[in-house]
Amino acid sequence: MIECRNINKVFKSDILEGPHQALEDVSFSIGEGETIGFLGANGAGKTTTIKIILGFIKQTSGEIKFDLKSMGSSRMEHMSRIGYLPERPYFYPHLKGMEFLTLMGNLSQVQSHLLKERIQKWSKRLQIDHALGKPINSYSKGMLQRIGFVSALLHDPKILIMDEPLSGLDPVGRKEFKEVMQEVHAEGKTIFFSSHIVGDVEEVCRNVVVLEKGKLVYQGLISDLIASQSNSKYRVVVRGEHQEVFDKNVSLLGDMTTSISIEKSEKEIFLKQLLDQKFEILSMTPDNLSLEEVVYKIRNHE
Amino acid sequence: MNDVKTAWVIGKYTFIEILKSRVIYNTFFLGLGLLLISYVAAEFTFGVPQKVALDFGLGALSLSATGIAIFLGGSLVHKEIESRTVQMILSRPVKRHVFMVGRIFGMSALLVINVLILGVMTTVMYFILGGSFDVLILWSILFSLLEAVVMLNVVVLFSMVTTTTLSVIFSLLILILGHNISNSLELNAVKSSPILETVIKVYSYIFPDLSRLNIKDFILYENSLSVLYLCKMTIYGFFYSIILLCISSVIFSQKDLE
Repeated sequence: MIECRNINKVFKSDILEGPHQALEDVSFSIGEGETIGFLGANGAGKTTTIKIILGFIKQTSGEIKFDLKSMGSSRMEHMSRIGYLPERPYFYPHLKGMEFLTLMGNLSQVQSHLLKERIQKWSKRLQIDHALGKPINSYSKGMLQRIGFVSALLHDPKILIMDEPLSGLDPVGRKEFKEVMQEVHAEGKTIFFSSHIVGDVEEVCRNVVVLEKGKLVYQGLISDLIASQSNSKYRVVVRGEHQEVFDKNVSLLGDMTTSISIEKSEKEIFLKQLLDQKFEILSMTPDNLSLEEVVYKIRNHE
Repeated sequence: MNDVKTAWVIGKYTFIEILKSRVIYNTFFLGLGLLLISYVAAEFTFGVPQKVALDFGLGALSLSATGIAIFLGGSLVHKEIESRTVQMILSRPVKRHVFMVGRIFGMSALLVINVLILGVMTTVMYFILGGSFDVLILWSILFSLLEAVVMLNVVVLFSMVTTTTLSVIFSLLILILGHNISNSLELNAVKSSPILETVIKVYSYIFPDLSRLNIKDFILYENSLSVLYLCKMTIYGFFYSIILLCISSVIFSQKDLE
């Protein structure tokens, strides 16, 4: 759908400190129907990448390729298929919510009856319908995010590109946004959103692109990333007496309850021993790292 | 939807946005103040109170339109870039030059409203005080509008390459120079220096010669102007604005919107 090929971006604005390389040879692709989380610490280059994809800034070198079939050939066709939500949505403060949405709908060439329908549908779903008659300068940060999300959905885009969409939202708002993301993905839309909060990405996405200091660290399935970084151990939680039989990788969880880490290869033998010694096996799970732990691990390696 | 319709939509909402920022109320109050001042000033004159009213009115009209154009024009596009509202608009299928045309169009519409309000107030006062109709009054109002639109394009062009404050300052300089450039050619100091004379002439070819659009004196002293001159000056103002708009659009199209 969208492919970034060897993107480099050097900012030359700071005379005293010299040029700053924001992106270095970044290549990844966004496939149709995928949910991709764009991870990276603050300043990793996520917003710069998104701005390059949207044509707000030009890359120093490299190219952005849009799939002809799904995204069209001209920039205008690309933009009519993209729904964009910036980190801090920027609006005309004196316009009312409804006026702003009508403006965005008109610019997106949405027919008036469809526009009316969609404004009603999405503003209700994102719980901002009550404020559409009020000027935008009276909106809170969360309300701005909500109306920004509505505006990104008005023209029924094929792909949603969102820059830190969950920042500034309360826990309920975050949950709602994630649900809507999953809903629109179920309708067949591609989701690409940046975040520095790993848990959010893990909850919504199957795929992830990880940037670190302007360099691509990983692109692919989250499950593959976790598997590649995790060890081959299992964690067994047991209850029973005579816990002195466990010699290593043991942590006491409570009275007579113990968690033991074992190698995958010795799983069967160990379970047999436990049963023989009359231990109650409470659980046995692969001892995987969370995505957050994996990302920290990758960053530390970089 | 074609580009013209997109520019129309952007222009419409630019107009609504500026209108809601209540700047037009200032124009209205200025108009009321103008009526009052004209009336008071006319009371203190002998013989031609209507001309005093007209002089005051047309002068204030021109000042108001140009002032609004420069002070609001400085942030018309620049503020959009700084506040990043432009990114919301350009994330839709909108070409950058169409956005620029739409913004200028919306702001120009506001200038038309401003000029219309003050123009009507001025002519009404002129007629109340016994003035007779002169078609040059209408031309003068049109030229004030043209001057404001030219200055709007000047300040927008400056704002593409520098800060809002500097673009306003540079535009004010252009305004002052533009009104005095023709007169300066008549000075002995200029006439006696061929280099200076050439520099000023070159300047007047490149930068706007706004004195050409100031025809108030012709009305006040009942001199006539040929229709050809009036048409030529209309075309001059119009095309000058178009050229500046094209340059601003090219710069804006190349600009990184960080």
